[in-house]
Amino acid sequence: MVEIDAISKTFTKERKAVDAVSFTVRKGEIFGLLGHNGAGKSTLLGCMLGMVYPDQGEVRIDGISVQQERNRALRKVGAIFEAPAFYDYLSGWQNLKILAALSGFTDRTEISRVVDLVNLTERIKHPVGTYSHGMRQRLALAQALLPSPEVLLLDEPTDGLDPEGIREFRDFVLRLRDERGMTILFNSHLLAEVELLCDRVAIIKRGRLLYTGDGADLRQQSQRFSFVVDDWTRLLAVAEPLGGRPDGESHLHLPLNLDVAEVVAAAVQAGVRVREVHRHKETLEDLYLKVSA
Amino acid sequence: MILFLRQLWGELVKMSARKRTYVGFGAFLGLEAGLVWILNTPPARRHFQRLIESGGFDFTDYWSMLSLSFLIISWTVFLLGGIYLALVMGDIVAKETEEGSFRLLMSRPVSRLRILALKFCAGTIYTFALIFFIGLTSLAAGALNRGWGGGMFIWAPEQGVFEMYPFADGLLRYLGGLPLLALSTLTTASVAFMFSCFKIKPATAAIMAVTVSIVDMILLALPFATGYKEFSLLNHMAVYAKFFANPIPWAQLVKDYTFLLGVDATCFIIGWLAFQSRDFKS
Repeated sequence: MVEIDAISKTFTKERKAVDAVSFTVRKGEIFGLLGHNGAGKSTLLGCMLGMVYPDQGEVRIDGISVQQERNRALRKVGAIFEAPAFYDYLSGWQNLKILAALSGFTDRTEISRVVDLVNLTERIKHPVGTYSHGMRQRLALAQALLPSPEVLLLDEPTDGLDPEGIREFRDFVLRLRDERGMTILFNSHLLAEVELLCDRVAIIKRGRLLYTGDGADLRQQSQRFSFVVDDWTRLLAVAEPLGGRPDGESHLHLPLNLDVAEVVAAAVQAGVRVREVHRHKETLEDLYLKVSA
Repeated sequence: MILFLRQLWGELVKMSARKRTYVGFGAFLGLEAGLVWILNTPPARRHFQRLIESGGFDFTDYWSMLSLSFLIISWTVFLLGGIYLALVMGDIVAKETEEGSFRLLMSRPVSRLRILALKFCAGTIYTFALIFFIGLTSLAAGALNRGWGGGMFIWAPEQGVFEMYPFADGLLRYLGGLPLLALSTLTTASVAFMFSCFKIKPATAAIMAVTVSIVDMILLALPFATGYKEFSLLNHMAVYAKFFANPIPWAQLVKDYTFLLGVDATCFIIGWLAFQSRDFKS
């Protein structure tokens, strides 16, 4: 649905903001774009929206090139930016009308429906300047949903939201995907959020794509356990011949084909007192650190 | 076309909802009141009495509402109009870029050219609205001070205009001249619009537009820069006063306003090219 094809962009001579990045977001999936601040995520998003001209490469949305036919390509796209800047002196309703009209859309009923959907009906006639951060994000979501996009591009949408707001936003995004089949690209540096939401991720660092996938391939290279024992040295002496690899002073990486019970049995036989064993589930954070190291 | 008008309406709603849009109107009223006071001081009255009577006319007939209104509108637009339009038009693109609201506009399936065209049209409407406001309030100020009626005395030495009109003819000329004055000031607005499209702060855009006007004024005043007169924006803008000559030099008006419209179009195109080539990143 969204194809990023060898996009490169340089703002300063010293370094490329985005360096030959390619990946594809499939129809109906939630795709996370991960990277620290300044990694090139927003530049990439700018290229997707035709706001930044890439030096090389192309973005295609449903097969239509943003660089060649921007207006046609963006008809299917809604976008939310980090800290969206609305016209604070106008009401939420006026903001939505102005923005929707730019997309050639003026149906008041549909605007009302979207306002209901994001739960802003009560305050929609109030000036945006009086809105809380959470309400502004909901308004941002409303403008992105006008008129019925197939692709949503979200740039750090949960930044600054309280935990309740984040959960509300997450549930809403999941509903959009499940009920409307929307394709969603989620640009964030919040690993936990991406992990909870996304089907697949791309990790970029200093403008370069380091990884694309669902993480399973990297996570499955080994299994990690933490041990509480009376003699860590003796445990290592038993585990290493079996293929175990130490990670710090209480963790072991074991090959996928090795049952942890075998290690425990060997340790007990060698006189090691094994008090606790925990399987450590690898998080997206581990994956991110591993890939970006 | 209907869609363009709806989008333009949105642009006008945005513009009219800003406080700055109205603050200026109040400043113009204040300046007009000040000018009424200045024109009624004994030295000013003596000066205009000499001028009117030098043409063989009766001062009491021609020191009237329309004469005052013409002086008030000319000085108001000259003293404050340019600065104010430079401020508003300097903001029109640069402010939205600075505040970030442009990203929301540009994430929609609409071309940059269309966004700029909408803003330029809104700015043009605003310029005309402002000049009509100044024109009508100057007229009201003149009427309040001198009472309804009386002849009209026009004196614009730079344009070689010195005319007297009866009330009805004078009123027609005064009202008919407002669109021309608006067209003249649109050039200042266009210059500010052009700078607003560059990657600069809104205040810088306004300052640059005002600087262009001041440099133009200085060059025009230099006695040895006579060749510059042909290119001076101010010189062409001042042709508005020629609408009060008798007979009206239509050919001259058409020539000067064609020049100014050419400048307006050039400013728009330069602004558009600068804007079109820019990257917009958060």
